[in-house]
Amino acid sequence: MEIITTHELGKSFGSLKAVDRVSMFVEEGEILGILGANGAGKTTLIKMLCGTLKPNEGSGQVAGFDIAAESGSIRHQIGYMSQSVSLLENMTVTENIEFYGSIYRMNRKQLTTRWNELQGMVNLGSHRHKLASELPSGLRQMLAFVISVLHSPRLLFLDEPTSGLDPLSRTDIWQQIYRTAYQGTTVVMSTHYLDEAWYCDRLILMENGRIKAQGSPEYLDSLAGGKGLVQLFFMSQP
Amino acid sequence: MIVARHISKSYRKQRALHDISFQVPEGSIFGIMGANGAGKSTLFEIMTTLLPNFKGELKICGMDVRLHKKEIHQVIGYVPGRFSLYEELTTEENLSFFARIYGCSVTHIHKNHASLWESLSPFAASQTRYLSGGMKQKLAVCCALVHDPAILFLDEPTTGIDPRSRHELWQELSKLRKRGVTILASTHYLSEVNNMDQVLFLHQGEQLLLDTPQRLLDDYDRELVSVTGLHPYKLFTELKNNAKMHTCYLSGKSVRIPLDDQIKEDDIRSFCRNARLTSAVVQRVSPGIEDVFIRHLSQIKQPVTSWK
Repeated sequence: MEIITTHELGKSFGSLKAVDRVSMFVEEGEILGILGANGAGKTTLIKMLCGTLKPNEGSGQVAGFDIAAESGSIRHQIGYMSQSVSLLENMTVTENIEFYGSIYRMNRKQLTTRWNELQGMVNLGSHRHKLASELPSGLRQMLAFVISVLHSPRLLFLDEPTSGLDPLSRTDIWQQIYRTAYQGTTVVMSTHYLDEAWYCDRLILMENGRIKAQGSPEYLDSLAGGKGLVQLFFMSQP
Repeated sequence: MIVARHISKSYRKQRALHDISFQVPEGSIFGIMGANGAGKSTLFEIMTTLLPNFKGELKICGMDVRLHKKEIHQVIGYVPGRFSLYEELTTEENLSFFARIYGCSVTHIHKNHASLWESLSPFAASQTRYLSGGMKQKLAVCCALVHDPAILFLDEPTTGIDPRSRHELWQELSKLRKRGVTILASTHYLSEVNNMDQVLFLHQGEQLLLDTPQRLLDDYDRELVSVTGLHPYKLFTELKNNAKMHTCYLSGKSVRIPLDDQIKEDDIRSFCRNARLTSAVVQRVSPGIEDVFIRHLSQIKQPVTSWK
């Protein structure tokens, strides 16, 4: 079943077409990776799908809601982890969890149950009394991830979730991404790591606001003649 | 060209670097890898004479970084982590500004670094703020090369830059290397290790690994098995729950298990059979650089005390 569909979706800022007539879909439960150069339109597309940016062309549905008219309803269905991790630096791990729990309007019981469940799976429990600012980069990112899935969203948007991490912390985050997907959450992520593109079920490659190619990593690699995904960035028409 | 002996640096009680030693031969690419906060930028500041207050000894072309700042500035170029350009100046203006600081001419860049300049020249008259991240970084490299330095330092030149520009930047760096320039570059993209002659891997301020990429692979001391064919999370939890396979980890869609006395390839096969993981595919694989780093990282105990 498709949880996201768009038809000729577009967004312009003045004369700049940031996203230009994009038609795409995302299957429920899959991990979709969005690739592209800086300024290719990845973040603008993700923002429109999250309901935080209104398109000025085309249409789209996310989890059954119209992205232009029902953006408020979409926001209750999704989790979002931005590139610049938005933690409360002077609060402890637990306080961060409680703060975001209240934003998601979870009651005490729901929050405790969910936090206990998540602590069992990530190595944050023993650091729960530390300030967010004291955590090393891997644990900070893990905390941001946990916050984005705290309310068990149907759809999870991740903007460069492993950027700047050591290899072991990266596999920790990927373990959680796969767990989330295994439990039925759909994941849409952007990444600059081409080795991580291979970890996704399906990929969309964007260029100048348009979709240049889409399909499984294996398919895109075959378009590049098996010479590696980086070659796709050099091809005018894959 | 560079000799570092027992470099340590602390900020108040926080340890940024601890006992780092290495040597960089002339005309080679020396890579520094590590997560955010591993100490990469601190090391760059020490090497570029910006941070004289450290323990240990560091010599650039035989000169002590504490005593010969001026002379060292003449032989090094530095591209710091954040863009160092004047955003409101044009490409050409930025370049001539840096050239004037060093008292040299811009034509040298146009001539000697033609391929680097070629991709920038269409934007010569554009304000730098309108350039893409990849173009800005190429320009920053040009600016660092105006005085023809023997050593070029680049602190995370490819961070936040798309794969194509990253690829092109590394091609330019290899060209510089061929012309005898010594290059020190940091990155957290593992795939970029292939461009390096030596790699230093920093972890929480400590020197975790130092070797050529090839020797790091050759020194991997275990047979490695990869299991695929099922949902990665399902596969991972099933295997991880078996005490013998607790060292397994996820690598993309596969689970990797380093073999030892406790666990053999056949044990994994029979485990998959008994656990009814019938579609699991078990096969030997050669380790990649990620496997090397994970093996070393998982062997050290995370020093919890090192952050305050």
